[in-house]
Amino acid sequence: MIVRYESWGAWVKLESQPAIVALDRDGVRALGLDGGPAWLEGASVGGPIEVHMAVTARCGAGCEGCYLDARPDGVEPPRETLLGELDALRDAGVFTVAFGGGEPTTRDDLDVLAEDARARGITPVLTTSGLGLTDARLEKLRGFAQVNVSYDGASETYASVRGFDGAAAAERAIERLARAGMRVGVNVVLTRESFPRVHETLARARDLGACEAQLLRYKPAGRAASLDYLARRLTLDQARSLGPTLRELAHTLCATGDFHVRIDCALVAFLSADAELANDPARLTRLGVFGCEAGGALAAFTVDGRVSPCSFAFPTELRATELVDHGGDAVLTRWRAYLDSPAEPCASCSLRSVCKGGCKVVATHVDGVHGPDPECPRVVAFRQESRRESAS
Amino acid sequence: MSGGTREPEVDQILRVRTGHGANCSSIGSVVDTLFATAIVSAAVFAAVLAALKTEDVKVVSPLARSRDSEAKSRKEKGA
Repeated sequence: MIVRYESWGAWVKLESQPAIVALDRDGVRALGLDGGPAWLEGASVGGPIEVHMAVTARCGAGCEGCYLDARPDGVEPPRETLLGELDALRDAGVFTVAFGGGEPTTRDDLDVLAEDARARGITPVLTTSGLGLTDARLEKLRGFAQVNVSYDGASETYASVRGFDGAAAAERAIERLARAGMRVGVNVVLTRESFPRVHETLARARDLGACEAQLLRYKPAGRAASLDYLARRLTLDQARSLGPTLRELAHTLCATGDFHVRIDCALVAFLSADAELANDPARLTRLGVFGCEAGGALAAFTVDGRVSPCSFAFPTELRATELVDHGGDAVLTRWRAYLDSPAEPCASCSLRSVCKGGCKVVATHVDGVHGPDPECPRVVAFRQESRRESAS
Repeated sequence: MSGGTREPEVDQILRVRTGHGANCSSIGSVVDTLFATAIVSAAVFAAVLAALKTEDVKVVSPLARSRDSEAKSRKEKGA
């Protein structure tokens, strides 16, 4: 296992099973270890445990909502540049690197990069569209701990999210990766059109051999940062129904333990509408649910080598190769600081410590401020009530 | 470090994040365990405790790296 001391104890990445564990100081001492300088008053803030690295801006898929605005002629940094960034991840004690872009499988050196990451003690994972996944390209993915294929549903549903029907190619990729013995998951973007079919989408992915599905909120970044976003985002009723939907998916698809459902950081805010979950934040914390960790447990590297709080946020001035200095970056500090004194209704929310205010990228796009997530059902209700009070 | 007497307790585990999560744009969290029985949750923590007691330990130290970086920066600025 790999231990990284934090002011509160330590993060521990296990090697015998895919898990990252937070231990308190007593737990660390029980391992025969001591945090030393990390446990002293005023020690540096902990850095990211997971970094999303854009290894190319090249992609021919042309998804309408691409958050990176990737194109067929997008730039592709040389391996030497990425090696410097992997060194920075090692120096910062990062546990996991997720390669994306752009379409990462367009790189010829992916297998080597996976080895480069592992040689630095970092677990490499990857997201692909599955388009153009030749046998040769597939073989280059064996070094990754998991490969996720973007799959929003069967043909019409897929096309409603991405603007073209790539479902068959994605399904073939899932099936081939699973048959090749690789751990494969799917990324499912939830829009108001794909959400009603999420059960059949996940069931299909599981049948094809996927071991996991990650549900993703549609976010206004890159080509999705347009007025069209408002017509594609989940409706308020859909946001409110996320908790019951997850409950149903867990009971029907995950009972045997060989298939798991994840939600992304931005969806956690919607759990505020589910009383059972909202009233038990300690359970969410213990079972590792992360809300907005941008600038905290999460960071992203842009294709031109800058650090961003997350893949959807504007980059900071901090160079990726200087990630170890993240604690002194003013922008990252501001993102982390939101939790210290959030505005209402986040301030009085039971999920505050887990959700951390919801998606700031959405808030900035919709409200123009780095504030409460305007699509969170609790925030919507709070604002409606405020308007009623103002009117009366 | 390996082996030795290590006795971490379940109450000392603040959180467990299972799975790899291979999405490249958003950090994800497994949620089906939220709806599982107490037995399933207990099994997750039991497996983690077993690993904590037996796996070899390697410590990484970003704090030291950060100090090295600060020292290098001061030196370059002639401070």
